[in-house]
Amino acid sequence: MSGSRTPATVSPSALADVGPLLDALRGVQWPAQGRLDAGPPGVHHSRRRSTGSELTEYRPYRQGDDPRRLDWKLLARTDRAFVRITDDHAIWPTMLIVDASASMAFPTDGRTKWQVARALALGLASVAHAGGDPVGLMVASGDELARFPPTTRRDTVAALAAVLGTVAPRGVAHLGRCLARAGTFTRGRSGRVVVIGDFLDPDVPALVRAARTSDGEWYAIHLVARAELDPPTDAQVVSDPEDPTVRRTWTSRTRAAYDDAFRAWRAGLQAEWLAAGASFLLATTDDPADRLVRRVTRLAFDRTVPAIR
Amino acid sequence: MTFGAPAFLLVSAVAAAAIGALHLITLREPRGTMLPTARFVPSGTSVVRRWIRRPTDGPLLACRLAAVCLTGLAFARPRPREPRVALVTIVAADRSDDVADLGAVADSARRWTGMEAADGSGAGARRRVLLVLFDSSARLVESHVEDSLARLAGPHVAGGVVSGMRHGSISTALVAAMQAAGRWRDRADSVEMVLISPLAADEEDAATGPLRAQWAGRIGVVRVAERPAPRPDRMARPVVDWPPDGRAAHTVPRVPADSVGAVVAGDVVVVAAFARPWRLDGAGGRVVARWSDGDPAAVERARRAPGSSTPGSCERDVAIPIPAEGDLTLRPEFRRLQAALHAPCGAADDPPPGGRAPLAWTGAGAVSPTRVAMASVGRGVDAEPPRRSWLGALLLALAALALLAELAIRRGAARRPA
Repeated sequence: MSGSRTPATVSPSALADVGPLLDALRGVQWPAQGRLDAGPPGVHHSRRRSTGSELTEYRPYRQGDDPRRLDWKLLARTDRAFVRITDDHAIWPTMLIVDASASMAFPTDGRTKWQVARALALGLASVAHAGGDPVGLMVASGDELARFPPTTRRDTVAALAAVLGTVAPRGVAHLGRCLARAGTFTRGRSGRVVVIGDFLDPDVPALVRAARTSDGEWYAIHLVARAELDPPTDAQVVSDPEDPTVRRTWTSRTRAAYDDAFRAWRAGLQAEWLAAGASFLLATTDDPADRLVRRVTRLAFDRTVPAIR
Repeated sequence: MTFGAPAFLLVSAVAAAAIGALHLITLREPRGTMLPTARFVPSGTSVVRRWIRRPTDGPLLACRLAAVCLTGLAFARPRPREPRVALVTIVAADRSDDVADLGAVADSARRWTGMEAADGSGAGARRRVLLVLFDSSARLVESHVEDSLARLAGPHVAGGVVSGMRHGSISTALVAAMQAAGRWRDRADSVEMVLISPLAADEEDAATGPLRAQWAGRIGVVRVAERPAPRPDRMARPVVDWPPDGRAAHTVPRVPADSVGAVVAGDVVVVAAFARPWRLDGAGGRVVARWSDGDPAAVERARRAPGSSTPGSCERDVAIPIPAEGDLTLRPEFRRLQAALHAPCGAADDPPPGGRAPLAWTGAGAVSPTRVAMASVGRGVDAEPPRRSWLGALLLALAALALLAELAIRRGAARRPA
């Protein structure tokens, strides 16, 4: 069952566990990667020039210009007529796509990938919302796809926390269905898309293709559990929670092969996302959430892909 | 409990330890856990070998250990330990025709068996008496001893005829006695032998000395009266066959020929160097003169008058060579020897075996410990093989039951779903 989830009233307790995180992220900015097209006013630089208060340059008065834009003081000093030119700002909507498949409930003891994903999503939503940007959410788990349309409401972050609080990781996410529901976010230059998950979903290649063809900003945050990077050494039979047919015997002799295969897959995944023009971040369950959020926002400055396309 | 082959106990212990160690290795599928990145683990067998602290299949292990231990115990040939006694007395009683009064032999034997009864019987008894009845053959009497002694003292077909006498064989008695002693080698602290016999000359042979030497302990001798051999008329003059070279009738060449230093006839002793190329057979006669080493030197045999069943006179075969040189024949003792050898029939007394007075039989010292008395006997006289113990069969049966139980447990485990 899927559908939008916008609780009529959001309980303040929805943010109780992430309160310290949100406090730590106060003042963090998440600028757009380059100048945006014209749009509703926001905090991000726009290509369009306007008559705002932030002076950018002077232009000689031409026939047809609005006389109200004349800088009278400059005219009095120089006896020449000039018009004030300022930059426009626009909003940059953000859509968070969070993987809530069964594999996100790992490890069973300690901080799970789902807990990190939830904190990361709320942290990024808080930063984006603080900049006046609309923030939306899609959470895919099993047969369910929870959607929250982008909005700038005051209680947006709390509402997102309430939506995330109702989701339990299970089944296969099938993130590809998020593309169909994401609307214009995955087409054209309409905003930024942040995909948070362990990318073990079979629809990840479709997301990569969408990132490649889209003019928007894509962020791929790859979550890996410490126990996946360094599994226990005792012999056991390991199974994939999303595919019961995958049962392998783990021994000390299989460790080397596992490390090589897993490392190669992670490297290939990163290369694909970067080749698609996305910003990629590898995060582990050991990393503090606030640090992860700051690293994501700094990707806007650190990525090697040209900022303006 | 004693074991005939204790090495099997060690073998079974080692096998049981190996089985126990193998049960600490499990080949089952290890515990399962979730790992989202399991797809990157290379495919392989789902069974791993790992050590565990405690075996999980307790009943199966118990059955296998029981089967191995019981089998080892059965092959170790357990025997119930028989009660040990302090002293075993082997009484060899002569029942041959050489004995004048078998009742005396039975009475002497009863004195020893009575000692056993007085000292108690069964577990913890201090003395055990074994009775060996012998004549030309020997028989160990283990049960109904009193009945055997009663028959011994009862009416007996008396000897009286010269031929057909059952002479006793001390060698046979010694062999039987030592065999009987061998059976108690491990169950008695000390052993002694008692010989009740007239010690007739006919009862000894060439093996008697070596056999006696094999018994390092004391042999008590109870000498009973000897039945007199049928004697010819004491007044009849003997027919003396005394060739100068000593080759009388009933002689065979002595191989190798030797020499001896003296000859004894009654109380006459002649000391000289006698060459002995011939050996005189003393069977069937009465030895009237012996060499110093005990071999017969002159034998008297009865001679029947034609048509008479009783001996009338006697003939003496003398195998004493008369030296051609020297003054031996002039010595007074030689003349007394001649006189003794020509004495009327039956007059000469059979001297005891030279150097074998009854006292010499007894040996030195007191009762000997079993290991000392049997020291020389050990290899030649084997202890009676122990009776087959029922314990071995029972243990093997129990081992078979344990194997059946193990099989049932394994089949039950195979049928149960994992």
